[in-house]
Amino acid sequence: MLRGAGTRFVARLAIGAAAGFKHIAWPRIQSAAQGRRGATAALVAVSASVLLGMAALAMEGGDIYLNRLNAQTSADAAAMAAASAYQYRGRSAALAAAVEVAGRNGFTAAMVTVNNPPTSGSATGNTNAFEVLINKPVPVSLSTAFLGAASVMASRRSVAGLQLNSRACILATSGSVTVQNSSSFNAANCYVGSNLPGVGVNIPQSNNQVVAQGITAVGTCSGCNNVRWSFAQGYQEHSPPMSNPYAFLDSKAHPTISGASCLNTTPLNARGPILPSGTSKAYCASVTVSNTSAVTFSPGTYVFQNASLTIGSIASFACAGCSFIFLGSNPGTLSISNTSTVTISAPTTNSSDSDYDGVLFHRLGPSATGSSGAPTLNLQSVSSFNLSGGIYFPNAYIKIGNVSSNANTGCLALVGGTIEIGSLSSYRFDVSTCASQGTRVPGTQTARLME
Amino acid sequence: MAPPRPALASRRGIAAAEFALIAPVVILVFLSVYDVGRAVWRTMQLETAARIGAQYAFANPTDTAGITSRVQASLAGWTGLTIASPTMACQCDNGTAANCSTGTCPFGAGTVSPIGYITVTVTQPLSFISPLTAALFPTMATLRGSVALRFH
Repeated sequence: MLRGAGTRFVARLAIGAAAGFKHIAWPRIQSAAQGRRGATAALVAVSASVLLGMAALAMEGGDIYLNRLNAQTSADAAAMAAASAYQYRGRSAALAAAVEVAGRNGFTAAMVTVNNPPTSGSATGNTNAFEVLINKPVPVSLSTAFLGAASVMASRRSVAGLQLNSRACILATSGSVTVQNSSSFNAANCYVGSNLPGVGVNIPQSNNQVVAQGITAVGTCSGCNNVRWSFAQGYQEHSPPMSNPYAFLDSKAHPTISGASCLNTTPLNARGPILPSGTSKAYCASVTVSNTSAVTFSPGTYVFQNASLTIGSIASFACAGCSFIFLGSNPGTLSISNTSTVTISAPTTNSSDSDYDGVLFHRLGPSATGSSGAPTLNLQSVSSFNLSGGIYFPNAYIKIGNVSSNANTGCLALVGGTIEIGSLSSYRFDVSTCASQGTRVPGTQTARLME
Repeated sequence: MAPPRPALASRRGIAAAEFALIAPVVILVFLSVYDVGRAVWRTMQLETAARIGAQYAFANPTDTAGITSRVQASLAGWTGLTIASPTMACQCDNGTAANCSTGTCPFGAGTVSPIGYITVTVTQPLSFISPLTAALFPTMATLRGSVALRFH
């Protein structure tokens, strides 16, 4: 590296020049009549020192600029490291990360100041932003006369923070996302991603066509580099975690429903529609709707406390403006299968509880449940499947397979623990109309330089 | 008619002798200045190229070929470049090495991805035109631009 080289050069040059001039046979100062003899030597001596001084100044200037360039690059890298570590590892780890990265770039801890939130600039007070200041004293020697100081500070500043970037339609918060055996998987206008460390996204060869706006993985993606897939914005590995807009539901308090508020206490096999429970009542034992022709549920909120809902083997199922909520200490499962047409949409405004605005299916997820063989949310073998709204099944295994859709609904936000999608023929994931339907949408986050 | 000057009083010869003595020193010094200036400028270019590679690496940390080609492209026409493979190295918070693609690390009560490090380094040998610079600054024989990045 060249840091400090200019200064050393100047010092050595001065010594070298002095030594060099000693060997020159300086003409003696002659009498007045011969006085012009020494003029050349004097001129050379004066001009040489001026020239050398200028050369030294230019080199020291270069050294300072080089240090400033390094300081800026290092401050940027440090701020980015802190921003990307912040939500994942916490504030203290993020502050340490910035100092560590500056150290790896050659700046000692004493030269680095990290502020969170920033104390100056447009991001002042922004708790998501990290301000890195690098102040490195660059020693100067010959330029001291011009600058009045023995060193010049190479000072540079950088601010970076996590910013919400793109909308996502599929987010696995604690497990992986797998898309397999699909003739056409289409999420052209939204991201698909996983917050799982390690291999979080699997898109094996078994698919025929995979289209997405992009893929985001906190860990890595297996199969994303397949040239047959079409990711408009590529795939990002080792990225910051995606935002989960439903996280507030995890800590939501729910009353325990008992006695007369329980709409059933023994398993119910319904051959027709059941009534919405609202949030003050609940189905307290499992409900099965099957073996019938066409079923239409009334709009409203259907709460299942420690109970499951199974819809299967019917001709068509419809529910417009419905939220299905699975609560309790041991929440049940939801299965919709073997049906030709299913059309379910979430209420834009939930009249029972505004927390469920735009929520289609939600299950409390205190601990991991389900597997590929026994998924917690099972959506299987529906030839025309039109879902509209948000699905939040944290820590649960979600399996979607053999479904297709003709209507191409514009809003389906899927947030779950582990998500397995297989054998899709014509199904489009999209969140473009969610804003108008009151449905919250997860998003990708990226560390960005802000200043 | 003026008398001829004595031989010893000739001014032309003195100037020529002075110049002959001082010229090598001055030329050597200026060539060295040129060397150092060139080294500083080239190092800046190398640092900028490493930075460009780092910017791409932030978005595509696993695309080592892409990072390398970004660095190469920003130094079009330069020869003798050595770009170290910008492969990510990973470790856990406690310092133990981890696998970057499949590794996980304990963190608090949970599990997180390991910390990933990428260093984008480009070096180029500098051929001195002045032997003085070669003697005084042997470290300038190899110029280097480098940026270290951290993920998570």
